[in-house]
Amino acid sequence: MDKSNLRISVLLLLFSAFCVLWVIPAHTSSPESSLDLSPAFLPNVAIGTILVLAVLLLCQSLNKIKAEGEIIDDEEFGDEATGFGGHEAANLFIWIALCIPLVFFMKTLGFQFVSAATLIGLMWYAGERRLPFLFGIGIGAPVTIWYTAWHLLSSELPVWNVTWL
Amino acid sequence: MIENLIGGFENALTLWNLMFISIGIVIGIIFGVLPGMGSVTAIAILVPITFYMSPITAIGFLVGVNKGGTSGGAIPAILLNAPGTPEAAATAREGYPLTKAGKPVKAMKMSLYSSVFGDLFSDCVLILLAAPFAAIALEFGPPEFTSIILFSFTLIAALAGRSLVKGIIAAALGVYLSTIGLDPVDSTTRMTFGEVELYDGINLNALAIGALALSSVISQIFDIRQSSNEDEKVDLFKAKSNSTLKAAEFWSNWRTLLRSSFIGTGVGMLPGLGVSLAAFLGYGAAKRASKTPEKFGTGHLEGIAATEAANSAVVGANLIPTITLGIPGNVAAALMISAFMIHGLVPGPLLMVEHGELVYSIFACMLTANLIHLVIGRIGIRVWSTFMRVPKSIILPVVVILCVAGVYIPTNSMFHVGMMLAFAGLGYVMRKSGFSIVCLVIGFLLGPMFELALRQTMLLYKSDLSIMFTSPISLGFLILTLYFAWRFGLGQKKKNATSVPSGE
Repeated sequence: MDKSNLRISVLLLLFSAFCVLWVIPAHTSSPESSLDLSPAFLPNVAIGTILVLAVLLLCQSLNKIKAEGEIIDDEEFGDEATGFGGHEAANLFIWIALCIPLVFFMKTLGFQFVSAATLIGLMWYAGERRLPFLFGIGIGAPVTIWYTAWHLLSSELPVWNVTWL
Repeated sequence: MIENLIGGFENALTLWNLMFISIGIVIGIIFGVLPGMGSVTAIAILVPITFYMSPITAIGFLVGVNKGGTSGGAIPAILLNAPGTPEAAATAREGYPLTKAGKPVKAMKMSLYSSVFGDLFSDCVLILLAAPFAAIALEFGPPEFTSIILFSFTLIAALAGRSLVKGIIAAALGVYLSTIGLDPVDSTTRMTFGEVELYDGINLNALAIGALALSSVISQIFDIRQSSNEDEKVDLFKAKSNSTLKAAEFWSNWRTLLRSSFIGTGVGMLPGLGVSLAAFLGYGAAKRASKTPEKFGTGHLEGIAATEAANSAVVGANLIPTITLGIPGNVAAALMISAFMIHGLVPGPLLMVEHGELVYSIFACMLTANLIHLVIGRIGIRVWSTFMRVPKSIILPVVVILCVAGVYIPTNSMFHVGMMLAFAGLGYVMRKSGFSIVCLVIGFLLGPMFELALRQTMLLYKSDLSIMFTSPISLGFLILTLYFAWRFGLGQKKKNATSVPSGE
């Protein structure tokens, strides 16, 4: 966990430096009243807090690694907080690789088709191998959701966009 | 007042009204269970339908939807660690460990009974004290709101876990994310990068459902893949003791229930603070006051009681400023105002004078709805718990698709779906690194409220912030803030000093 904290604190340092040096100055305006706080005030306070605490976390991690001390277990996530390493990064990459086509293709191929493909893929990934369940639920659930949204909620989920063809 | 209430019950207790209240509660629970939907979406969709109903039936129906929706979010929070609504996030902290321990029914019972308790409490406050409480609510201005929200930031210390540093980082990130969008005072753009969809800021549903619910779901899917012992099916009905919630177990938390109900009622009475804040405040207060705070987060029934009583108490209390002043307490109350107006009723000081009998009939409907909620919720627990028999390899991917639909339907925007998926990734990283997602959500909720209140104070009082020390209400909350900050700082030092490295 200490090595994970080290990586995360470096990431946070880079992120907050990027925000303070470019994002906030370039994308916020000056205050319109001398009585008012600048629009950049709260973002700067928040990012400044992250910056300072990221340095603190970095120092704590370095000290712990040096002293070869044991990590303190995380209270909120218990054994789920295993640290962010190569395996977790690979999982994150898989998630990003799934999300980008999901968002892109849903606008054009529609909710039913893309959700069915996503659902079948995810169930397969999670270990479901019974084909009737895979295809039955994989196709049935998105179709049910689509028709429920339309008939009960009068809300149309993305449809097949014929003009794209 | 008693005579009016009895008269109200005479009007309210018709078969037609009872039927619609029941239908409302069922619909509300279903919407609460579905990620991203919630009672606000349900009320927004159903308000036009009430045009064809009588005023009493219509308001009773919508109140049922609101009550069901608020408590429904706890069900997926407990069963799947995927809260259906942001206010159920703290319920997931206690409920899911109970599910893993084979006690999901017990957790759901605690959640239901606490919800009904909180609801009943705030309904009684509404009926008995609406007018004087409304007068007190009028005393709260921007300086008072600034102090209350500053005080709420001390929650972070209660919810950050053992690493206060990580908790504050998460909260600060939440505050930073909340500043994206239009400036609340100047309406100039802030970090929107020219994207019109960001003018309203990051959608709360997208962040909460993504970071809280979806990140848990994808984390579980990855864990199933890795460990390939996916069918950790909990045999719910194996041990009866696992599903029984004894009366003594419930009532032993009476202090927490009362405290959280007070907090929820207080928060609900003040326009703009929201259900989620009440839930987190109730949870934080319970943890602070508890003799066994270390048990929180491990499947502690008191934690469930605290959250659910607080978030349900908001429902009735929101109607105090709505009915007496015509000022909606939150979005759901604003939608209720539209329902009132559809039926020719104008909420405000004159409503009780001109339509007193009707108002008391509505109060009677609210009290009746609590009883019906208890019955329907109790029956529903058996139904929902059968979902646990479904393998996780099937149910978790379905929840992913439901989250996508749930965020798309209210917003009609794939951009917000994309944001939700991005926050799911962020939430996954936070889970694995031990950063508190609840603190992220708290920071996101409190940031804009704090900024708006502070800037309004500065503009109203010409940058003279001494008003925050001269207003008694504001000063009181500032003192509480300092006290709890000091107490937590001390507590954290003691905790870190007594944490012994476990093994070499």
